[in-house]
Parts: sequence; C-alpha cells; structure tokens
Amino acid sequence: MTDLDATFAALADPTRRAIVARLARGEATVGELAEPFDMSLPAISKHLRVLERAGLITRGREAQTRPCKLSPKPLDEAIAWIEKHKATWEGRLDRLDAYVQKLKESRK
Amino acid sequence: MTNEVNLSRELDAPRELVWEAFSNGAHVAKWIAPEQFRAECSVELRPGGRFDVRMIGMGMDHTARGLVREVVHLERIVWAFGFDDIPGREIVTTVTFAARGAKTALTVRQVFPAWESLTPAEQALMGPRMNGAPIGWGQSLDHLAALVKR
Repeated sequence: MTDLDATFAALADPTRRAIVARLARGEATVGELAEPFDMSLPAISKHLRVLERAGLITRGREAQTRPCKLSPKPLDEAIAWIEKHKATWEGRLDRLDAYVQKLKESRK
Repeated sequence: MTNEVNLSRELDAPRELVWEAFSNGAHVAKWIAPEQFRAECSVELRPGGRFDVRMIGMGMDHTARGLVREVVHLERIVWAFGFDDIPGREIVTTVTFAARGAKTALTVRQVFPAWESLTPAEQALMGPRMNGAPIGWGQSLDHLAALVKR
C-alpha cells in the first residue's frame, strides 16, 4: 500500500473522518474523541490506530491519556491528488481549444 | 454530489467544429492525451458505440474501454468507461455543447462511483488508477482542508 492508499483507506470511513474533523479543532484524548459516538473505547482506539498508521494523526507519549493530534501532510497529499484529476481535464480542454483553432484555420 | 468533476470552458470556434473534434478517434486522439503521452482512440458517436482511449507513454500502455450511452447531435455526448478487473463500477463523462454566436460553451462532468460504495478490494484497485479522481469523500476532504487551514 502506498502512503496515498493508506490515506484514502483511512478516510473512507465516516467515523474516522469525524475524528479527523474533531482533531482539526485541536488535540483531544481518546475519551474526548469517543464522546460523540455510540462506540466503545476499544472500538475508537481501533479507528485511531488506522489513522495513526496512515500518518494522519500522532499520539502523545505522556501518561495514559496519550492525546491525539492531527498531522496534516497526508491530507494535503490526498487533496493534491484530487486536484490532479481536475487538472487532467483542464489540460485536455487547453489542447482541444488549440486543436479546434487549427481546424478553424485549415477551413478558411 | 461530490464524487464528480465539473468544468466549463468557452471555445472560440463554432459549435459544429468543436463537435467535429469529438466525432471520431483520429480527432479525439489529437487532444485527449496529456503531455508525454500519445493516444490511439476509437470513437463511434452512437448509443452503444465505442469510446476507447489507449494511452501510450512514460513506459505505460493502458486502455480505457468506454461505451457511448447517449448522443444528441451538436448538443451532448455521454460515455462511460470502466476497468476489466472492477466490473460494474463505471466512470461516466458528460460533455455538453452550446452555441454562443460564433463561439461554443462546453461543459464537462465526470462522475465516479462513491468511494464508500466500493469494497476494500475495489478501492485498492481503483485508488492508484484514478489519476486524481475526487471520489465520494471529496467534499469531506474539502471540508477538512478548510478546517485544517483555519
């Protein structure tokens, strides 16, 4: 799995997206992250491990709370990947434009 | 809907000419391939006709096999393509043509299967191949990006 694949796989789950959105507002403990969900702490911890493996979050080493923090780099890479597809069509339309101008000239 | 790309462009050419640029494989091959690639295309503008695009370049040789779904002469082309190893998951492209005097307003809409609707195996195949496709979570990512940038 590439880094990007891991990011996409991690973000393909709505609970994990919600966790990432929550962490965008600042770091939080597992207990705080679990609050809005009807889910056990071990279940939340499992989601956090997926996010951690994908490099989307980092976890503090201190004490038992181990607060979670967002690491924006993989997210930026995923967004850049999305933008690339739009750029593919933008480039295509540039070339289409140039090509129809050539057709136009040749018909004069 | 967020699992789609939408673009529009005004081209300084009459609609008939822009339509012609889509009307057969030889024309389409002139503009569809990115830099460093060349394309070989087979396009039949009729419902059920082919819309095959073979891209060759940078050590790759990859064919996307498409099928034309709808053709409204001078107005609209809809085609879908998929991958042999991911049956039933299609990417649907709609191009519309509107005359603006001697110019043409073109829109492109490309719809992908929602990421969440794919099995993990399909995601693993589709992900690296989509060349930047905004799949189901597109809006979520935009939303997250906005939050992160704040």
